[in-house]
Amino acid sequence: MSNFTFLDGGIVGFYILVVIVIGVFVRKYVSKVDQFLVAGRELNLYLGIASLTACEFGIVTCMYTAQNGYKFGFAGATPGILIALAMLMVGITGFCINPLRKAGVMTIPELFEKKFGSRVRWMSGVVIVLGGLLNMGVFLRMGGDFLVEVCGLNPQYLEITMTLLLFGIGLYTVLGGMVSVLITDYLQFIMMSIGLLVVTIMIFIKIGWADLVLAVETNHGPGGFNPFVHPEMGPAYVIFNAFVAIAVVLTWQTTIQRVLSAKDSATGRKIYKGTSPFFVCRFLLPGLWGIAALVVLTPDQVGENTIIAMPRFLSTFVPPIMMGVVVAAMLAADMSTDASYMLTWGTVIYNDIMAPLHKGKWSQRKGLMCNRFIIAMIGVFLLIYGLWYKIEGDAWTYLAVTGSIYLSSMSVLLIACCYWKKANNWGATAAIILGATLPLGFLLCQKIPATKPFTEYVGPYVSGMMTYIGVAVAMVIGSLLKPKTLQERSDNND
Amino acid sequence: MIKYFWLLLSLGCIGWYLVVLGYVAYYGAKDIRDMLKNMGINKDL
Repeated sequence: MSNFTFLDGGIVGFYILVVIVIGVFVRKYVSKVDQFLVAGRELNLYLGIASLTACEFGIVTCMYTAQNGYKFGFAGATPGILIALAMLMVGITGFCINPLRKAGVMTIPELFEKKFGSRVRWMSGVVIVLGGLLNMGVFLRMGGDFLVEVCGLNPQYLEITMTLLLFGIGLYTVLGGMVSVLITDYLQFIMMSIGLLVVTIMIFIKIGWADLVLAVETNHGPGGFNPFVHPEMGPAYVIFNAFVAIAVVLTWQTTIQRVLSAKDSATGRKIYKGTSPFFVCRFLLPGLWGIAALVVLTPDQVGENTIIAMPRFLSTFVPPIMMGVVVAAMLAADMSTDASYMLTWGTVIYNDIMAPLHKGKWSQRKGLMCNRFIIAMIGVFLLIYGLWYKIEGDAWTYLAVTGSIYLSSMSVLLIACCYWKKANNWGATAAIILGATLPLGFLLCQKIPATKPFTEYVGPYVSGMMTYIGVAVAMVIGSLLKPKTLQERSDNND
Repeated sequence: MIKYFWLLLSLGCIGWYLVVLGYVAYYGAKDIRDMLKNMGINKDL
């Protein structure tokens, strides 16, 4: 029986209403495409930190990081530590993000056009949207699963609840674009931070550090503290996640869009440096919730589906009224993520995939209308895909594998574009094709009974690692194979 | 030893979050005001 009461429902409903009203209200500041997509590049440091933090933490994040805590113990926070380190290094050195911001582009593919031509820009747009939408497609279902467990919501009403929530988020994103997203992100950052801190401190007080450590020791042994000796993780897991961390920091469109919206490259770097510790918190704090579930719940109460362990634990651990604050915090986190992601993929569709159509010549009014229509269509896709796809294995690995569809090729292309003179469109095309086909092939093979044992033998980590290495090799070989005469001709055309 | 690493990291996360929450709540509101002000001016132009 859940501790969620009518009073908690009132708190949640009031919060959602306030956010949607504010998000819709600020639409009057948007009259141009660049105001809609990158808030007129007026983003400053603290709002940037709030927005990046809120965007990169949704219910889905809380679910998979808690699942990592439940399944792997403290070692489950390893990806967060790797992302934080990568982000700090990039923030300090300005590696790739300096030239990217200085180029004054709105998306990464726009930068690629300058080096590799318009065809590579278009292909990059396609893989970014494909990987991003497949990645985001499971957000709604996981958010719904959370509400069912925590609030005791009847699963019969899950679809209609998630549809209404998505409609509200879509409304302010469609009308106010990045300006609405940034301002609602600020409110959502405050709300979700309060929820995250309150529950974690309650766990420390009510359960205690000693019991958390004991549960990890009993269930996972030394592997619960050290990813290298965990039987389900090991060096392959760490290396794959290190590749993902670097690629996420350099090319994950929702993350990089904050750098592109920043006032200048120095502000972009400060946002990265200031936000980097958050990525440890993002994995470790909900990870502690997952470990707390390991302490409180028996394996029978959780069953096979370990992702529901944390919400099931919360449903009885958090007292009424506080429950309303926690659910509002989680919904806040989810709303900011969904809004940012819809806007981001919409930006790439308009700016890069549709570039041959509008050629940057459409009127501001027509451009705005088109962007709004694209975001609405992404919302429809989310509803359809989000409610039928079933994840195989753990959620973080699904997200990392689908993200790799573009993370692997885009990160290699970006590094080559910024720092390797010999890189050309042959190498870029080979990298994009290989980077998309390997992860997609892996996902398909997981679904086909005949090839499923093979995917289990190879495993997602080795497959993911090979994708990154293969893409880098394809970039180098492809670039070197292009005859000099052809290279000179395309240079002259540029 | 490694257990203390995780304890310190967990407490560090809580501490970092508390500080950043305070800073961002205050200065983030200022950033929003500035952003809307500048966008209002640019809109008029």
